[in-house]
Amino acid sequence: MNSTPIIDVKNVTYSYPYAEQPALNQISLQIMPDQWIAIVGHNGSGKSTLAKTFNGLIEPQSGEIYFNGELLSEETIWDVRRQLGIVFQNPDNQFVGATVADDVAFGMENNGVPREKMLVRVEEALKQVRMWDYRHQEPARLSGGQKQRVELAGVLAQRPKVIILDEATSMLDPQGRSEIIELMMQLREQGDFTIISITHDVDEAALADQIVLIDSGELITQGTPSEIFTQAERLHEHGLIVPLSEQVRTDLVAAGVGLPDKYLDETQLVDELWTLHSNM
Amino acid sequence: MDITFEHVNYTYQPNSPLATLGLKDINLKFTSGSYVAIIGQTGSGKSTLLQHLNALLRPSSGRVLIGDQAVMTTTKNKELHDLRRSVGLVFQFPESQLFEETVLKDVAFAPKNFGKSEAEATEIARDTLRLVGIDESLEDKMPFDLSGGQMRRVAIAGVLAMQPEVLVLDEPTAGLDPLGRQQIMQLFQRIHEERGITIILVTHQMDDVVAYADQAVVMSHGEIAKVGTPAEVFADLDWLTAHNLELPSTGRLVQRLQQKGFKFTRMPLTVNELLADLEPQLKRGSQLG
Amino acid sequence: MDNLIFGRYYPGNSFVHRLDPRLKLIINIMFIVLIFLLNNWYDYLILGVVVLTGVVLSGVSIRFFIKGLRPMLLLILFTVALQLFFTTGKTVYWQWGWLAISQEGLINASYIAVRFLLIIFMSTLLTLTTQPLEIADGLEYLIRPLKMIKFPVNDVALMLSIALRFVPKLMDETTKIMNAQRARGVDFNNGSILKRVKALIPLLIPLMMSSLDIATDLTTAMISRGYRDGEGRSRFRVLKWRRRDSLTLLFFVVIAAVVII
Repeated sequence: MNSTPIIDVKNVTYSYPYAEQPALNQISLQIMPDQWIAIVGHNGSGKSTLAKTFNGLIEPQSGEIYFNGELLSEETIWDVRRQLGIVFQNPDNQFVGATVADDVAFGMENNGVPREKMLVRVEEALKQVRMWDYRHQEPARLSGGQKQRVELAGVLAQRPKVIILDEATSMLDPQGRSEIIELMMQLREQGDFTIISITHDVDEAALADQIVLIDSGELITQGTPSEIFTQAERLHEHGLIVPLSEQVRTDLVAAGVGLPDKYLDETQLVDELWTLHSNM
Repeated sequence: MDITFEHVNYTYQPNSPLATLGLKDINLKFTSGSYVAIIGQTGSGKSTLLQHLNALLRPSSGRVLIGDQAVMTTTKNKELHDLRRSVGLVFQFPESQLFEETVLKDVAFAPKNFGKSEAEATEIARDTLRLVGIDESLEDKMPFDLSGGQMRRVAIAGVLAMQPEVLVLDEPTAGLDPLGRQQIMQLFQRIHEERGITIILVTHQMDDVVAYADQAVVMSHGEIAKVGTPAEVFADLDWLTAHNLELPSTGRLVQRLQQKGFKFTRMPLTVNELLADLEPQLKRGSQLG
Repeated sequence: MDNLIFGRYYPGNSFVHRLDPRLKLIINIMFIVLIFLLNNWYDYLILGVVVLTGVVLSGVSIRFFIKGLRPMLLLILFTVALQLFFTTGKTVYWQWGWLAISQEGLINASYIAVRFLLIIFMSTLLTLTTQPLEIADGLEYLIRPLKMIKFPVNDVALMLSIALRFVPKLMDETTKIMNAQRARGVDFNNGSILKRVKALIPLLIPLMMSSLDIATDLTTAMISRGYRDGEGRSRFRVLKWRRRDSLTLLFFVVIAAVVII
């Protein structure tokens, strides 16, 4: 594995104006490249604030942030913003363009990408998120899920190293949510991106390679889904729940069924259960 | 108070080239004291139906009986005032309706509109805030200074303060985290049980339908596709998939288990039901090497 | 509700739809100037035929044009009445106190009516066949020379296009908040003026708060995507001036020349 973290957060503290408690409290975190990281925590835990420090939307009062080994500063910030794309929570309030294609091009326009190149990349990105047929549509006619797919295309067109989904699915209906999650899974297969999903949805978090649990602006714990999801008590304490498969597994184990003593995702659980099927 | 739909049709922008059908021949009865969930895809007509429940929309044809007041195309706005008090409507992201300088005033707003004196309204507002778990120390704050979850509660209190007989909820937990979601749903359950308020819940959260509703109405293309208990509605997984409906969270796991060869005589809707059905089909742990 | 600002666009692919928005804007301006320069029936007839040709070519039903008149009706009637009753003339047909209808009044009133009619039809033709966004694009081109006096043309253009983009969203938001407050017992339609104005507060404050939210979110998103200011940006949208635009302009200049001479 590459040894330089793509994002390196060192002792970052940040308080919003007039707030009594800091939103981020001496937090340190390393994110390695080409991984899928889920940053989880309840509403108000500081997880979105943390993400906003990654590209300088929020400037911490103390501590440093390094992007791919470089310190985030006035000089590097615009370069970082090009390499790190964020899809935010509210599908309506981040759609800048008047039509789908315009919105995808917006970031490239800001960076002065020549028009011929934009045309190619807009098409490519929109096809990637399956929204090419909608390129002339205005946002008012799109569903929430479709708008978020367009936002994702806007990020992809910039050829980023890091894609952040900041609660990008939390305002969507189930259909929109599964569309976005499916796309994220495809992206993981296709490209060499680091994906950071900021979420309180455990099913979304379960897809990640690493889960980072945050509360009161502090890092509580970090680990693989199996390391995190076997700590049901701890998750509850911080306002979250475990995935259904883990709940079923622990209940069955408690009832005396001989399942392995580790986290199983749904596929693994079904496979394990089948080996225990009494009619085999 | 019962609410009854009789052959209700609703057309958006009638007599224009953009006319679209919102509701088609809806016949439905919401019985006093029940807890009914309305489910269906986005655009299936749920929101249109919901706005008929307190006459924010009037049927293009047919009529809605709310208590003993009939609402038809021709019903005048003036006749609807009392009815609006008895049917409380909590919209999606209700915190966007907050506007007063203090939390207390905002909650007292509706009772005052419905003829309560300043003192009475404030009294009711205090009680309602306690009911939704907002502490006295927050009463004099600006609503906009509260956290997202608190704002949601204050907004809900603002509707509850009308002391409605029917409470209509449009995705009341949208955007909340798991714990916040649970707390809000339990709050409604408590009000339903303690005060006998009828609850009509529009939601995408099928687990909530299973956990709380005693009836579920499935909407599809402006029509009622199915009415029944959650157990009846969720019995047929293929039918649900065909109507693009979500399953309760147990559903996906059950489908996978069925594909492997596990047998279920009914659709297990909760983890406990799933466990009860699963265990007899498994060898005991001791038999495993 | 969505016919504020630039009127309602009627989707289509007619000759008029496909004309360059800059051309349509220029013609509209020329047309208005012409109308006020002219005052004889013969010239109005020619312009009327031009407008009608445009209407027919647009493929949009005449009903939509008549609809476009409706919001202006009161203003038209008022102005026409003013001309009718207050123009002093020699040949008086009817008099009541200081109100009089004279021949000159009649003529002036009908000129005004025809002018209104022609201008409204022409501008409705523009808004029905041109998407608001295209109009904004066209305007941006036309105000470009202002760059020389340091006018931030690019920023203003982006502001305009964002404003347009958020009109439907704010409309939705308004309906939503109105419904929520009506459900809490607010009556927006009845009662004294004072009561009705007071009823607007529970609508306007939430609307303001939500506009602020939108603005904050939008700014955050724009900065994240590298927006600094109007300079150094490349452009994705471009307008293409075609032969048909030149020909249409030529045709219109000829007509203008004919009627003026």
